[in-house]
Amino acid sequence: MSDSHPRPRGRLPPEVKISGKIDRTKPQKFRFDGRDYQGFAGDTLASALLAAGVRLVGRSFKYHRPRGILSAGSEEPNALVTLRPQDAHLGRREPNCRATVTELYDGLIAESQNRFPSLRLDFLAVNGWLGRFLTAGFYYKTFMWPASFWEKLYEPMIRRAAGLGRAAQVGDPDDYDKTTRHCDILIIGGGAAGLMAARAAAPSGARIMLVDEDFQLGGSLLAASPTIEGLIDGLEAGAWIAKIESELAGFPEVTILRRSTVFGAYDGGTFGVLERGEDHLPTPPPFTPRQRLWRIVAGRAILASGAIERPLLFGNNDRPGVMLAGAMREYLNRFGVAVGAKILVVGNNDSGVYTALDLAEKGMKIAALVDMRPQLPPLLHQKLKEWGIRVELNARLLDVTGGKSVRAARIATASGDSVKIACDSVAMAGGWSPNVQLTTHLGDKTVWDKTQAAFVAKLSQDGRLASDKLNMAVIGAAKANISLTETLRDAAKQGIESAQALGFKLNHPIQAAMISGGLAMNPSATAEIEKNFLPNGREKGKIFVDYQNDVTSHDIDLAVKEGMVSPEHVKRYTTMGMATDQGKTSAVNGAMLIAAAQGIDVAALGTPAPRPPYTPVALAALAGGQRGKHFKPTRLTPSHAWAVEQNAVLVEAGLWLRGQYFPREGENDWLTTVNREVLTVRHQVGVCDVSTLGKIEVQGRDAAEFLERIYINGWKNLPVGRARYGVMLREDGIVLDDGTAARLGEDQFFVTTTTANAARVMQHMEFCHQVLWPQLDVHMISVTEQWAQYAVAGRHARAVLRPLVDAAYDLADDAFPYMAAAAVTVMGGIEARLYRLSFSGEMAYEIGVPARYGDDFFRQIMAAGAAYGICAYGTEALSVMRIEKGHPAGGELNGICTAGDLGLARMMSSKKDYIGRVMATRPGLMAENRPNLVGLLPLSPGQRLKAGAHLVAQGKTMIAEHDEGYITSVAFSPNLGHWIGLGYVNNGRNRQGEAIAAVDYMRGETYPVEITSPVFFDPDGARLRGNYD
Amino acid sequence: MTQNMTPNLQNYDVRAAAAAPILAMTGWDKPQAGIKLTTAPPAGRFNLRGSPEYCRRICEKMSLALPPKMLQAAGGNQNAVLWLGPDEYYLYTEDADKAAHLAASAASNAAPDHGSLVDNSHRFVGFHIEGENVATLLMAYCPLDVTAAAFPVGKATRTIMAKIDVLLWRQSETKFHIEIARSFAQYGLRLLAFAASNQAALRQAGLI
Amino acid sequence: MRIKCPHCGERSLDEFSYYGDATLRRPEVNDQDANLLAKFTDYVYLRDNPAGQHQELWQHQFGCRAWLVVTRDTNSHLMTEVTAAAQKGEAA
Repeated sequence: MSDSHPRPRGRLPPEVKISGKIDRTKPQKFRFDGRDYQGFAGDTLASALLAAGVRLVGRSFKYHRPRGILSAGSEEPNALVTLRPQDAHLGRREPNCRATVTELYDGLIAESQNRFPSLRLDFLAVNGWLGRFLTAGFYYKTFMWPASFWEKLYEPMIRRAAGLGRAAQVGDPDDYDKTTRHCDILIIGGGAAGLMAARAAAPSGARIMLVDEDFQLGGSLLAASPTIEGLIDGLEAGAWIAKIESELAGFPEVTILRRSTVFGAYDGGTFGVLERGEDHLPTPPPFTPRQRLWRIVAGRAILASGAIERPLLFGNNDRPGVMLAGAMREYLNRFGVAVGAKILVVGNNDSGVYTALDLAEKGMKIAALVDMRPQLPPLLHQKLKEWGIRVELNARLLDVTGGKSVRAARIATASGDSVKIACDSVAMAGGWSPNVQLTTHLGDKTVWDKTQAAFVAKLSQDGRLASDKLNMAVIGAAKANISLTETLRDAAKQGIESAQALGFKLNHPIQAAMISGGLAMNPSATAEIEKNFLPNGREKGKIFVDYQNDVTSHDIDLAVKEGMVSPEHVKRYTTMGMATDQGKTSAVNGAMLIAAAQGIDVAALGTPAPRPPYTPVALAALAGGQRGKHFKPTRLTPSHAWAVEQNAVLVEAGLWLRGQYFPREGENDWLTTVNREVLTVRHQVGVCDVSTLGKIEVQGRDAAEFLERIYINGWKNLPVGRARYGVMLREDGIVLDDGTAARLGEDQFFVTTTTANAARVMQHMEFCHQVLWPQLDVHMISVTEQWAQYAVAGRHARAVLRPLVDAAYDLADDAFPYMAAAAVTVMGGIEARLYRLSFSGEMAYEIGVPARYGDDFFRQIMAAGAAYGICAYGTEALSVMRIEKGHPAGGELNGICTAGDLGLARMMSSKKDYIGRVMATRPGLMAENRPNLVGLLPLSPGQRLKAGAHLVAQGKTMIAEHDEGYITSVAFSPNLGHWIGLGYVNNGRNRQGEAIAAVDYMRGETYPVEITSPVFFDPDGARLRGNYD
Repeated sequence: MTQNMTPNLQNYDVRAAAAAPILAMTGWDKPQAGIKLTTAPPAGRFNLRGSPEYCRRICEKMSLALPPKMLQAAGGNQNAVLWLGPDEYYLYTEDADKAAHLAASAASNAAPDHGSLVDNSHRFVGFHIEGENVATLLMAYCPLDVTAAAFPVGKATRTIMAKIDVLLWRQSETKFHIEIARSFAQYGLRLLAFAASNQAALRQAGLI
Repeated sequence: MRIKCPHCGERSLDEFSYYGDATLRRPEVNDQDANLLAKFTDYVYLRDNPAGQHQELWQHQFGCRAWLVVTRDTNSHLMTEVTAAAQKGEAA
């Protein structure tokens, strides 16, 4: 008996008994598009809006058509809103949120999108009238003429009109966290199937994770009613869910994640899960991350993600008021909302009948049930009669009328007549597509199931995926459209089998829950869907396939006509399935249309495989705590604390933070400071922290032999107690790295590398040892962090170090000449290493002390040097001096230079093989005209040189064919009083004295320079071999 | 010889010099969900490789035998040999005499043809991290399963934490010894502090 | 992806760095060989790109630092065998 006074749209009165989870004692105020409303705890934004009678929630992407709420889940394509627009200045504004999964909270503020100036009156709705010209791929065919209009008019216009939602312009202020969790069984989905599987497996003691997108467990059971679905173990659905939840809480190895989406399946049993822990609060509590990214490594996964209902194809199937039938039942039973006052139910399977009966039972007026099938199961037909519901069999819905809301529907009856039926809502029961997107993430394909008219996962006998990439079982509606009884039985079986397969015991496996009563005992197969599904040509108005991207059936026809045959092409040409909903409600309809347009079988066609993420993931969640400055590690040198005390200017050198220069009182300009540091080293003494260089101990009987094989020069004849400069090549003959190595013992070498290449050289050595020459008796151990290493350079270097180095060690010039190396002790017994090396060109030492003493020892050096006017010098001064001396460094070791280019050809031994030797003989790498390392002088006195400028013969235009090289490093030399540079010039070593033009397009400068030797200062090396006291 | 400008070497306090500041750990004052972090005492750390006989001989200086299998520690928490890989034993001792003894062997390079012993005492900084949910904390940034079942007491390994190298050594049901390379130590501690402060949220949600 | 290091057990991909084809052998260096440069050029540059089984070198960089030979199916990413390279190494 239908109620003679049908319910109006909106919230059902409390007397109407629903299984629902809203709490009427907790009202929640919220605002949408500037108007205030009220909902209850347990509502979503969508259910609260529908309760308030709001239907129009957005405008479609392309045509700006008025749109309403289509679904009750994350598959929603229409109800995309912006949350927290008022907090845009805080960086919390979030566009494109689905109102259907947005948990309502008190004070929530949301705005509709994609409309100007308002939702009711949107100027860009004019796009709808231009529909004929905005079909699929229109942008490949338009905006081409005149060409000049593109940049000036078309592009700016398109940018303004395109896109959906506006992002915040300020950084996200909240914390996000990441974690890894290992488990035995990951159950994806907490509905009937997932809960049953978890409950069955739990007693085994296996580590189980149950993950559900929603804030309440239950899945489709939340939309159920006792009349239709019956009772589970004698309980109403809600009570059964609560019972299972509390039982699961008693098992310590079971973890339940709510509000969490498994967004991706990855190799090796790894799954990405986004937990939206605090999105349902206005702001997260202090010290609580807003969202957490879980990387779950599972022994086995059980997919219980349910099924998604398909829309039907009829004219204007996107009008507000047109909704999926299952969603209507969820709004009714979970939230207590009547979404319409007079509802037309259309379907091709039993779900349509359930919907009509369920709505009628709660007092809603059913305009008619339009079923595409020729007959219904007798029991259901009987019930419909009892409720007095008009039934049209063998009928179909042609189109609906109404702009911002459905007003009427036009159907074709069994006889073929077209009949108009007044209604304000349409419930579409188009059939259920198993939600198996996760199964295709690793490249496996779904298969077409004719009876279900859906793409399903290919399973083997035991319910697991027939895939070698993913250990996953599929249960429940995700497997097939089976009854609840069968679902529970299958789920329990799979839970038990999964636990056992992983080696866990179940002494008394539980029985599956039993269904009693209800009408949905045996869901019958859907009609010959493929025959009835497609539009028959009598429809008026646009027929939408992909709601979010505004793709119509006409677009698909057009794409096929234009030669797009494969679904992948149609997808990309029409953008069907490419929106943030990833084709959840469009895939099957689209596939059938494509197949029909080509006259082939859908099974043969297939469908594009969805990829991660299943639903959008915020970038902040992917970053976790590694954002901004903390994106990569920052490494601190042993003298860092001292540098900070001095207010030194620090620079990022790779991961390291190094002192760049150390300004003193009165120095207002970096150049002043750097000049002072350079002159102090050249005339007195300075100290620089060089701990960042890579340091490797190479030990063993074959240590020398090993070095012979990786360096271009020789090591066997290096005496103990001496260091030598070495260059190593890549196997292709290009320079890999350079540095000094000291022989501290017959079988012990201490190798240094450049800062940037420390890890690379270590890896190279380990490769050579383990893969190429495992028979060599050699070991390499990284000791970069063991030693704090300082360069003490200048004429007073020895004087500064003498009081620090214990008296037993003679630092006299003959006892410790240039390139000497030895283990010593300092400060009364602390082991140290001393090397007489010079990068600056002055008499210099490098002294290494164990790193824990590094801070104190640096201060000791400064104290010892005070009487000599010692200063600390940083990377800038270091750079100036090495450029003055023509030492190649980062700018010169550019990954394409050979040893010959650096002027080091004579270091290449002809007596042994080494890595890169053979390939270095390639004609191209030995050519006469190759770029050589040269020095460059400005021809006009005050001219400043800048690195990066390219070099061309004077008078020639700077084009690629004339390019002769470029400037690699520059410095102002306070010793010479002008700028100097290093660079590469073709055949440079034979062109000394020649003038050449430096052309800098980046800075818009051109100036002449002179090619010269790269060693600008003390070319004979008298100073570094000097014997100063 | 120039004048000695430094403080009297006789009174130079090596231990004070060694107590160079580990820069302040940021964020450790926030709610920590019961996690305690302390710095391990200074220790001797050595990398040992070579023939089985050589390695055994070196370990005898610590009064220890080699661990029976890989990723295992032999000895106690203050004096242990960790077998970290086919080519690496890691010797750890807080005993100053044993450390000195090993350092002397390393310096003298006594048996170059059988293996190598390298003093890396300063390369790493050691910390103890303790609490009921210490495994969950570490797994915030370590992709390894360090729960008690998969990573029992006495197991030790190198692994990755976010983007850095760490050595994890489980010393009890609720305690790990963690070694981080010196220059990365502050970054590593900050990561742990950040994760620990987020543990409070996991606790509240009943997830740990 | 996870790789089962023979020394350390199954570890996350983050701990490893990929190198390339493990079947290559550094050519024997004999300066009398007229084809020596050609052999080295192939060694340095030429690679097969199979769809299917591939033997490749990975280093367990954030673990035991062993170089490993992994047999991986390039289609499915399934790794069927992981052994230490040092065992398989040959004299240069």
